[in-house]
Amino acid sequence: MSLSLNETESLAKTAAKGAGLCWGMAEEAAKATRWLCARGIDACDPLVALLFRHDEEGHAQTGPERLDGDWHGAEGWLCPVACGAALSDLGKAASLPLTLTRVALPVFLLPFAASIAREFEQPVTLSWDSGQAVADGDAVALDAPPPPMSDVVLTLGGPLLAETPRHSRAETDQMILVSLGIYAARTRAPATEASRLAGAGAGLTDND
Amino acid sequence: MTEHADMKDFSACALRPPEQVMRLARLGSLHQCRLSFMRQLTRRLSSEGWRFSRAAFEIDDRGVGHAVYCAKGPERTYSLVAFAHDLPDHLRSDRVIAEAWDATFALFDGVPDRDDIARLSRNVPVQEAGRISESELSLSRANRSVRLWTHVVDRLATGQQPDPDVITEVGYLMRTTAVYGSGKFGAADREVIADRPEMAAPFQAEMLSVYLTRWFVRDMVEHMARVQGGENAVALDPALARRLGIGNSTGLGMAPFLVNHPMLVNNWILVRETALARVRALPSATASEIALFRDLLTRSAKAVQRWRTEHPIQLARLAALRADLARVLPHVAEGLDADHPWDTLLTWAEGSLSLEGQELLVSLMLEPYGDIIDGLGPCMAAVEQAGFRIDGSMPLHQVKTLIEQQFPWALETDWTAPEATARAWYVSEEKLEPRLGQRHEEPIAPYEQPLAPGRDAALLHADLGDWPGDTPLAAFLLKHPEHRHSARRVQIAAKAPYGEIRDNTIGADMLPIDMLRAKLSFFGATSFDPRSDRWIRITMFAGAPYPPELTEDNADFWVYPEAGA
Repeated sequence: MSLSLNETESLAKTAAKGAGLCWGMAEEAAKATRWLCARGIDACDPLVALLFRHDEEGHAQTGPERLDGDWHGAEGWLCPVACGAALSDLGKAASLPLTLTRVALPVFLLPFAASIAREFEQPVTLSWDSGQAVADGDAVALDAPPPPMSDVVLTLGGPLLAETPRHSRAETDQMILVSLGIYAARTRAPATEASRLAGAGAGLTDND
Repeated sequence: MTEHADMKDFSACALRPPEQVMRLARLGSLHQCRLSFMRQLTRRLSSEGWRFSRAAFEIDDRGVGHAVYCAKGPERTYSLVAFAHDLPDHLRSDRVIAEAWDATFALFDGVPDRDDIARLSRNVPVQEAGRISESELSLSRANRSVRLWTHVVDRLATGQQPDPDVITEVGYLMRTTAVYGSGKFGAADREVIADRPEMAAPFQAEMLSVYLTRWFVRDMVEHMARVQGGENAVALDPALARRLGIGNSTGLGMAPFLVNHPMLVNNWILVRETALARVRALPSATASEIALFRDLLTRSAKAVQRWRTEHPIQLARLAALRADLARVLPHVAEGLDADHPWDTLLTWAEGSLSLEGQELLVSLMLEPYGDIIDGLGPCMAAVEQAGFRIDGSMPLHQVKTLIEQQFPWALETDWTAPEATARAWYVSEEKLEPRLGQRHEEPIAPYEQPLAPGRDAALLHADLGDWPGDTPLAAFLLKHPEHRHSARRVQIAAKAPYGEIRDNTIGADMLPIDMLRAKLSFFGATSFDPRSDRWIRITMFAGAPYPPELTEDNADFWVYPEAGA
């Protein structure tokens, strides 16, 4: 199914909020999803997997416990969006090479790595169990989808990338959208007759 | 040529500060101006010599079928695909939760072929329940004003023209109840068209869609009159037709937009304020500039006389505006040939007129100066992405200072008082309709949308209290991810000071119609007619020439009624 990128971002944000992320982190997850889809990398499927994990394990702190040294999560795993957001916040203050221990769905690190590559004015290479990727500003090179859980090492430098072709749509499976929709639905208040009238402030017929 | 509003304008001329402009009461008093998106559109369509044609009108005697209207510019053609329906009265609702309409529309990027029409005919009539594609730039629907529609059809069918007073009273034959653009329901994202010169200014696709819809509606009413009256039927008098706009019924859905797009709103307001500052800086006005201003002021007074509303809030504002005009008209009869006439006039207005009157005067002062203002039009667009990344290296003492500078009113508010947090914005499960509820009376707080930047900035400020001031923001956000959206917002407010409403958006006395009107005024809407504190009807393109009549002479000032019109 073909979605506009605005639809994709909006659904991702609401779904992430519904799965328990706070609004600011949901915004990061949504922008990262959009960034990946705009580069032809399916992010909706891994987003469902990530939100499922957040939802299953409760909403405990899943970012790095400390910013110095290798990064570890208090719950034994790291959320790629929380790590990415922390990396992006640090910008040039990020100390590379950096090892992130047990990151779920590390594909979501790519947009944030691309952002700090812009700060450092050189590519950032991400290595995981079975392969690697390079991110640089607007460009990304990813040979194969990364594993669902892996340690990740970020290093400065890597091959200069050609411009990544842009996609104006996100192509994804109907069932993935249904899954995201289930999380998104949790952000919505059940309607009552009172809210139906008072909440929107209008009557129901307009024959005038 | 495109000019850019930038920091230079801050120093060169005195901009009215955000603390003055971004109050809800003033935003709720804004009027259309020459930078409004409808007027940017008609000026461009005429100056570039766009050609318009009706490519199809396959509507049967019941008023059911489709029509296609094309607008051909220097590089591209856009087509309105309209579907007309036979809607039983009991289904006619302006609410977003409606499921059937008198007419439905899509703006097609190019000229649709048979397959496109077939695809759209399966999707556009069901609106939100269907899917459109990257070939479509907007999706919309409209309902008849039953009273005016019946009157006009009956009169034309019997060879008579409609009563001008009835036309004035209602103002439109159909009102749109939603115009969706930018990626909604599968349509093309704004980014797909943002680089096209004709789409550079905000909402140009949506405005074009409404402009062509108005043409379709006139054809429809004449068609139905011919069906009813046969050979006796006559066409609508062009002068009466021109008075008719397209109505619009807007509910709460538009209010969150204003909070959710701070960079965009900043650019709208900043450009209008920059234009005003340029005019105020003029040392003198020529006789022809003064004459144009006086002419448009008089015509504007006529529009204000015609303005109809029954809502007590707007009735009071309208009474004040009429009293303002009674003071302004004699006041400007002389003195405009003095030093810095516009600056002097505005200073007088700020001490003498209501907010409605002040803002109407601001809009009118811009009118004679298209040559120094119109180039700012495309600067009203924004890339929201530009403010997204948080600068985590910012020390917390600086974050605190930014909050104190940008949200002083929020720090002075007692957020423990029930009236300060009386409302909560939420989205209903039912048709995803945005709503506003009573936080302390309904179980809606868990579903609250982040639409109270002031309260959230105050909460952030309070939690910053215990941290050493030289700590980087990144370290704070690691421990307090719940403040992340607010930290981003505070940094955006520093870059885009006109993007932040300087009032409580969840307070007991907040009027959502103020937020709706601010946005609608930038579209170019007129005749604001609130139906409650959270729902408003307006008119678009009233007075405008129909597309085939558009010339350079009538493309600009059509919003002001001509003498005799």
